[in-house]
Amino acid sequence: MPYRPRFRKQLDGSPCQGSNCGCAASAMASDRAREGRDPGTAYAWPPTPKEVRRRIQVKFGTGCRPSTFAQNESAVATLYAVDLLPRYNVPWATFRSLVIGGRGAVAAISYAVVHGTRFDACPSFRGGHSVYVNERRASDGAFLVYDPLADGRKGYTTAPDWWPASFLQKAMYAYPGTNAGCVHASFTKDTEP
Amino acid sequence: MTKPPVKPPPTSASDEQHRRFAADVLDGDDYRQPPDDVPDTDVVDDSGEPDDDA
Repeated sequence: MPYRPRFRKQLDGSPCQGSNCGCAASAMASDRAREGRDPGTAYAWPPTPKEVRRRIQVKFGTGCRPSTFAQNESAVATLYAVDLLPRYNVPWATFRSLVIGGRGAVAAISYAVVHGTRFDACPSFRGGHSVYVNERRASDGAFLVYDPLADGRKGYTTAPDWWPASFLQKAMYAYPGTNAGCVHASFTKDTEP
Repeated sequence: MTKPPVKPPPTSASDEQHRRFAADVLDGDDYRQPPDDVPDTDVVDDSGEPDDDA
């Protein structure tokens, strides 16, 4: 079983919490990539969305604007010496194979697909979102998903949770701008022995 | 650079096969270029009441 990172919620009271889904998902991906071990950089460990956001603000000057894969890639490389690998319009079967092959992934989804399901952790939100995907379960093909919104507040669901493959696929396909049958994701290194 | 195989292995393939495929894909040039129209994620506002149909 791959290392399972600590859950990081985006609604942590920090100034950019509303737009920190990418930072939170990238923080969890960094924890996975390091398998929980402090890389010994000059920055605090374990990773937090607030720290990732701060680094993006310093380097890119984008304030609290939603972050991109590339900005998060740059931030976690500096903070935690982690190489995230953003890839765009990846066929679903390729995404699935990469996760089976020992990699975690930050996945771009549309929360409109999550709305009204048991996985919905913010019923007032239906926009573009980032979640962290840690692994696939062979018995039923489900994926272990860490939704940065799923912090249990107001009785909503808590992360991580097993999302059926068809559900994750639908949510990733629905992210605006993806080609038909394709997804956007940013992958960790292969951490499996 | 190595071009990735056209098709990934089936889910029933060995972990090693998936691993080799993944390495080929990520070493290759495909999928690296973000599309021009990739939008940002959206800002969450959790302050309002949940929708009735949730």
